[in-house]
Amino acid sequence: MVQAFSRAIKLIFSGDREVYFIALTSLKFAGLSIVISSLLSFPFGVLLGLKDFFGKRMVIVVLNSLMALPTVVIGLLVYSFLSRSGPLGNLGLLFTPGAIIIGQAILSFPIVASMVYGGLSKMDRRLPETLVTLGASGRDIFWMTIREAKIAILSAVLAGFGRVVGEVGVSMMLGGNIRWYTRTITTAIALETSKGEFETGLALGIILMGIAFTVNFFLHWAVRHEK
Amino acid sequence: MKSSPLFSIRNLRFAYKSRNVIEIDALDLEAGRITVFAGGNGSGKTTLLKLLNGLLQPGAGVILYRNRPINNDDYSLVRSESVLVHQNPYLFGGTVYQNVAYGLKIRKTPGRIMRRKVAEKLALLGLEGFEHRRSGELSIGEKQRVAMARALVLEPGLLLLDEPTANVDPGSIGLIEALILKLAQLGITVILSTHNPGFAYRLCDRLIGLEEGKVVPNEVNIFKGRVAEEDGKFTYFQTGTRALRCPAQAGEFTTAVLPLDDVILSKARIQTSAQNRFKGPVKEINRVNHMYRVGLDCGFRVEAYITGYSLESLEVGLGKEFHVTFKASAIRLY
Repeated sequence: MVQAFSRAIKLIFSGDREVYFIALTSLKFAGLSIVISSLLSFPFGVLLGLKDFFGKRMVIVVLNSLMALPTVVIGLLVYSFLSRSGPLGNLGLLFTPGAIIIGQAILSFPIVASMVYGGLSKMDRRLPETLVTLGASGRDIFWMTIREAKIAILSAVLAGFGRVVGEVGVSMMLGGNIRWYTRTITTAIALETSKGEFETGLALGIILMGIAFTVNFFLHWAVRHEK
Repeated sequence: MKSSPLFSIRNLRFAYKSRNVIEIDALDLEAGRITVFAGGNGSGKTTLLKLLNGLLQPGAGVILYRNRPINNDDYSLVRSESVLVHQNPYLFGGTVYQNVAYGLKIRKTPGRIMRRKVAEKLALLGLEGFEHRRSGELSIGEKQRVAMARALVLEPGLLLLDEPTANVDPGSIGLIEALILKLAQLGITVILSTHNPGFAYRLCDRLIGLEEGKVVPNEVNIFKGRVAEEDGKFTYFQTGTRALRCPAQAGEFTTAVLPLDDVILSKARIQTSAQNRFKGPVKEINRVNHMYRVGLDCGFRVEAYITGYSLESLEVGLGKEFHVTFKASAIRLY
């Protein structure tokens, strides 16, 4: 184990092209999917957090349930749409980066929306009253509320990013783990481990943990800075 | 001609979860004065302030502001002229400057004017050098002062303050008190709530007692004035043209408080140990529940509670001269 660990460290610092390509591919897919997901889930979370409407409670229950959906189930569902015989089969997206990004965006949608809603619904009730009494318009109140909830919103986005960068089911089923194309850190770890190549698997695992650590460190720094 | 009141409240009802928390049949509040709502927890002070600011809508009845009803259709006038500062104010994340400048920023005030106004108000509140301090690092007293600066920078004609001294350190209380008096001198109408009697007595031009959402009669005489002399036996408190004898005590007092029940009304001067005896004509008689409230001008305005029996037997009537007697020890100085 110790030997495998030291070889993994050497692999990282030797600048192995494939290891870094896989790491960058993972970051690229996760980054793009979280941007697309946030564009949809953020307004949805804001709507849930700031507006009351019929059926809101049911929507929240469904959203929370979707957070626990296994990645392979999402992979399977998207696969059925993108496969040659599926309704979107003619787009030719299956086993391409696009398929992974779509799957990961769907995976992170309920996490980001639910956490944005959670953050906004827990906002101090004195905030809107304070803004109103200072003469703020509805638009001013909206933007200030978003500003005040920025840590919760940032947490939501980073939690969504953490979820997609570490998932294996969607990437494997929709990307096909194609070398120099759709291979991500997690699919590579699964492959290398099954081949008995522990060093490469471990090196990629260390990179993945490094990404998780960086994300959490950034969040922690942002919270401290905000105070 | 009597000017119309700033606020006119008529048959106001407001309920939280079917429990009436405000029940006021009629109340007028005048402009250019310090009006204090006094009462304990749950007396409805905060709710009433929020109703006056249009943050809450009456369940029934009406609140007129400058003769225009405050309701969902039209609260722009009261909102444009007033600011409410909460008991435990909410400060936005960021710096003190960003907090104080917020109202000016949304009004698109030019940067140079904004910086000048913010600096002025911070100085007024004793917060020079606080511009870059983060709101999360401030003490409760400092937060209260920042919230007041944030309100005052908008130069409102009406300031609504909910418990401005609650949880505030003694040093900040004196500063806030002096500031409120200064604002009143500048012509700003101040309506505030407090459960601190000393603070209420010292500041008020008018004190309105609240209990369970209802206006209750004020049970004390509040005399404004100053300490004229202190001779070791008594402290002489000058109010109107007369000096009241109070228990000897040192201090810069500005208000003397005398319960209405401690004032004895008589046709002739009576010999007692009471140190304060004055004479004057009856100016006002009001029935309050089963008692009568009689107001006299003795060189200062003083009121006494008497029963219906006393009213008849003493033949109390408007313009008739009566004596009032009260003990020095009945007076509290603030």
